Amino acid sequence: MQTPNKILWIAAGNQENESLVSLFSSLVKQVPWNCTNLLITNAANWRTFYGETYKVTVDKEEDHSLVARYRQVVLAAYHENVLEDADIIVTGGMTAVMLIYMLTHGSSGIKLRNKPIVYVSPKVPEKEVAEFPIEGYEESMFWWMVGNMPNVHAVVLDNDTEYEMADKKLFRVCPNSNKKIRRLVLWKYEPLDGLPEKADKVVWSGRWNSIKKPDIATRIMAVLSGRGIDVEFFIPTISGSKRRSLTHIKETFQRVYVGLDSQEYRKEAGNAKVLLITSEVEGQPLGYLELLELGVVPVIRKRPWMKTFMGEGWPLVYTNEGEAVELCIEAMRTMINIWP
Amino acid sequence: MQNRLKARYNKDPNFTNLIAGIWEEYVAGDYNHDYSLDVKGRGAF
Repeated sequence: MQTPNKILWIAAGNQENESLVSLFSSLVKQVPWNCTNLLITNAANWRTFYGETYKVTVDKEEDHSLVARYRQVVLAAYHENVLEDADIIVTGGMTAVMLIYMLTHGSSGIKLRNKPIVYVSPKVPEKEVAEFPIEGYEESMFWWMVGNMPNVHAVVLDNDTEYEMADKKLFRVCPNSNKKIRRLVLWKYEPLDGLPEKADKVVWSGRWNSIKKPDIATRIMAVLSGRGIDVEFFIPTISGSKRRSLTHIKETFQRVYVGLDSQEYRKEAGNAKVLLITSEVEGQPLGYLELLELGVVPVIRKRPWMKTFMGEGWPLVYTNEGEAVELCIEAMRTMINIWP
Repeated sequence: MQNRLKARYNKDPNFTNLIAGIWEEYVAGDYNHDYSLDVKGRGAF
């Protein structure tokens, strides 16, 4: 059977580490064909991608929105002729899917050939996390495309909440479509031979952006620290501008790690007893799962996505910061009962 | 906790099959679809 020659991965983001690039870097290793993989991105961590890369510098002066960033990245791909050249396009942007549609089937006179377009969503846009600043119309159009176009596919990470949300959005726009949302499994639990010796400490891990809710984390960690508990922050990478906002965090907390590689992260954070999770939304968060595998117990902020993360009935779920503090302390004292 | 992880995360990563399935569908499929959006039908979105 004919196999693809080139897969194009489109990931627009901000200038700091972009989790979509990390996700694509892990997926590209699972591509079953010996073909060219080309990442086109403006994100700073493009070097982690195993394949060819084309780094786009997005004009910051113009517009900071994700829509604008995707517009610039997709147009760069068009100008470099890689949109036409690719046999499969994988992207995490609804905007990218819609732009490719316009370039392929619009009335502009540009004619790209048909190919599968795979939208991989690390997080289905929801209220306050939407890709489009104007709620409603544009996103509905995206789901209309998924429902009606044979070559457009929507994939969500294997999380019931995310799947149900995407399925509902698709059904609302295309009730008669027989297209199905696909689920992407990233991680399988494999019991380790031994677990690290545990230290009495609470860790927080994630990029320093509003969806991860670092503001909530700093308040909880400050109280824990005031009660004499060791607390540590792990941030994969951070842009120059946000680095400045870390200055006072570093003054308040002694241990703030930035940019550790995976091995160092597992070593430094994996011996903690508790992982404090504040995220607004996650699909299948590998950074957390890596620590859980090492026996770090998660204390989780109550949000819809966490139901599938640890399954129903996980006892360490908080709704306010005071409760989070108490649960972290309780988890440290009683983890012997929670684990295994 | 490890039992929970085992129960919840007991599926193999599936991107290989997922992308291969999409490609096979594309190669075998009828892609002579009319992709033109019906502009008059915008209210349907």
